[in-house]
Amino acid sequence: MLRFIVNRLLLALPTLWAVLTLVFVLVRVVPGDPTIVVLGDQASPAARAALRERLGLNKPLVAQYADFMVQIAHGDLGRSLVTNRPITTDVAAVLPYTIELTVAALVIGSLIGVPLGVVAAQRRDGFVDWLARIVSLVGLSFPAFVSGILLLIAFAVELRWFPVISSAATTDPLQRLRALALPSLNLGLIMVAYVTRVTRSGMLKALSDDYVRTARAKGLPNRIVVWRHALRNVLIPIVTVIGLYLGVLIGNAVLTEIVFSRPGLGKLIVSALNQRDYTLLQGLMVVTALAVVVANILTDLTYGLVDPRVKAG
Amino acid sequence: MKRHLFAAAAALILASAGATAETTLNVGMSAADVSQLDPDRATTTQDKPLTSWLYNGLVRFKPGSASLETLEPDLAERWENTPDKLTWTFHLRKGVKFHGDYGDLTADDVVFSLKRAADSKTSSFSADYASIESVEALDPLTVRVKLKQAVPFFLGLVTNYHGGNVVSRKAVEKLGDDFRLNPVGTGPFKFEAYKPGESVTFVANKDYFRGAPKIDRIVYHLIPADSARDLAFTSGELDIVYGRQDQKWVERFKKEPGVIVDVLRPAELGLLHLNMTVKPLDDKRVRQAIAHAINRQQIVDFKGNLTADLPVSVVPAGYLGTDPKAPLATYDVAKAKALLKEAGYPNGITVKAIQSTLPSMLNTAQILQAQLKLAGIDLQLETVDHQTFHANIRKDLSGAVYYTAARFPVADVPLTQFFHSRSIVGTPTAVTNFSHCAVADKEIDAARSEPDLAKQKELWATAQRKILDEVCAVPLFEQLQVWAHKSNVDYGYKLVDAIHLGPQITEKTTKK
Repeated sequence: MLRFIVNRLLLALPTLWAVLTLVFVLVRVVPGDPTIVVLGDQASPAARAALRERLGLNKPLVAQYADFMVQIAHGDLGRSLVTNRPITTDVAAVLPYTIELTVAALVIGSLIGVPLGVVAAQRRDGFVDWLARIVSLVGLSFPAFVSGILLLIAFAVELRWFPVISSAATTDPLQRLRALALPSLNLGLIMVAYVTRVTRSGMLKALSDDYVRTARAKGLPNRIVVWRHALRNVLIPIVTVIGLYLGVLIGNAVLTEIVFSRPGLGKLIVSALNQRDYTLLQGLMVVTALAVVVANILTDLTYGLVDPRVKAG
Repeated sequence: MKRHLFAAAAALILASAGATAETTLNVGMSAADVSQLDPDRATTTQDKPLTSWLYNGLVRFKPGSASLETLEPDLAERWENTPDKLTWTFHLRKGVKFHGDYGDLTADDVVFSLKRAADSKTSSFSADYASIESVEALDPLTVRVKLKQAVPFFLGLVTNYHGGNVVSRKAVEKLGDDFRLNPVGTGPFKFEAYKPGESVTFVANKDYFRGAPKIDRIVYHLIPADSARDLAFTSGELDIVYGRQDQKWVERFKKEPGVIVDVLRPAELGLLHLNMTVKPLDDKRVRQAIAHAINRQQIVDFKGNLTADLPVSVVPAGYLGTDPKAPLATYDVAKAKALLKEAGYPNGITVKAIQSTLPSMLNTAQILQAQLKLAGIDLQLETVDHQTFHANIRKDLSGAVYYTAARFPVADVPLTQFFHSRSIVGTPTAVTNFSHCAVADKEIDAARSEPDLAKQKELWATAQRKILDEVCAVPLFEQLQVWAHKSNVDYGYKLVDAIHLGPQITEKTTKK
């Protein structure tokens, strides 16, 4: 198991390197100048040139790239160009928010999506199936910022159950949970859509398989046939979707974080991009790429758990 | 005995209730993050209001006012100057304390702050302070400033604005680069915490020299999504909110019970700068044609008369030295077409403009595009994101540049930055002269050192007329600032203008 994890991490190194190189090049190809952000629009070219020199932005790109790689190899993400704060501090400040939002959305997505998909497959073309298909279609096609605003109007402004500014409460765990409710529901509903669709199609196929017919012929109760035999075989694609979705979730979280005024990696990435904060952007990409790698490893490990035929390693 | 115990318990509960009833002011700002709380660097709309809570100058704008005519003492109790206005002596208040453990304010901090403001390595406003010859501390509470030449309005440079804000020398030297997000001033509120992309928190400076503030804490929430910010204001989570510069927004919130909408000056002036070095804009007749083809009233009608105003000159209205009678081109499409024909372009012209995708800027550019089309002028908009826009217009890549800006309210500042040849983009001393205008250098320079205010105003007026005559830029409209607050918040002064682009929270501000 440990060897498997180490192997996967080693395999991920070239991917990480490729991502970092791409990010390094991309952020510098995009026009824009971080010194305008730092110094404001009235600063003289001399002041800008001086700052560029101090930040090392006037060095040849190859030298900047080498510096960056050496730094990363030492596990140091460097300092933000704009705020001069250590990037690790900024990431550490928002990472818990991103993790809790992602996990909550996954839990909501799985707890609602899987049963809904199973029931829909069982009652193919019935009312529940129809409802599940509508829900998943809406979930997939509804932009997160629209559903977010609707949730805010209904539950935060009208009913006042939850706060509009999700980041307002941080110390009290109960308040934090309250602040998490709407954003995770918003993100979770998109997840429900994906999971429902995959579960439903997998179950439809499984329910027509021979082993299900055999199980039914043995006289096993429907409950056992569906939930223990058929669903178990469908779990692999479901886990794959959830695993893949973890990476997508970080991207989708951007809109949710902005609408619900929640700190998080996504929001930080957008802000860094707007400010042309190259170093912060690079640091955030390292973290995001690592998160995707970890998500993939977790997914692979889960395969072994849900299906003993898949041996780790 | 029992009764005594009961009374004591009640008193204790009341006392603890009193102790915990903290007044927090929640302010919502339209920005993903702050960049700087260093007053010598802070220029953005989200950073500037905060400097007015944190710092003081030697003198200050009256809270709620942006007028230089009504400046009042701040850290300096009194001051005197020589008749030639070249030597100024300031006497500081006694016992003013910096935030935290940085001790008392001394003349040394003032000397340090002004020198820092004049140094391009540490300040974005160094050009404004270039006339300072020397700053010295005569004793711990007296500062003398000597100028190489008279400046348009010297006291303006030592107000609680930009480089005039006084910082703690010890703090700057100790914190270095970290000072930008660990500011230390003498203002009514001190910095407490910064959460990236989330909020900045300030707490009352109980030792503030004008008295302890009545508000205990300010949380400055960074909420870039307009709708989310509006909802947070409606739900009561925000007490003060940065509004939208939009007629419908103002109308909607004016109708909401318990909400006071503040539409404030100084306005940002929108100008269309025309690059006089590229064809066909190098022909004055072509530039005149563009000026005649623009319908200013239509732009103001589109923006909405609650949040926008007609421009009066190439300098925003209300600045010291604005010429209220500057001759602006009349709207006359036929004349525009005739001018183009005369210049040898009977079939019209094409002008390239690099344009920010910022919605409020893009929609104005699109109106301009439609208006110019009627006169046969094809304004081709090359849309890019806001940061790219800022970088590329400074590389002299655009034929026309639509730019909105508010500056220090003395005509000298916008005239120098936008129309003096020293400020032409692409040169070593560049600021924001996108048009390559150089027709009024003489007047701008002469006005700068003219000690007589009436003559100085006349020189500025001549400069504005010359710039308009040469059509270096076409004034489009004035954009007012929009904020709103709940009626239970009392700023403690009459809010008319916001020189710091946002309301000042003072020691007198209360929330019921």
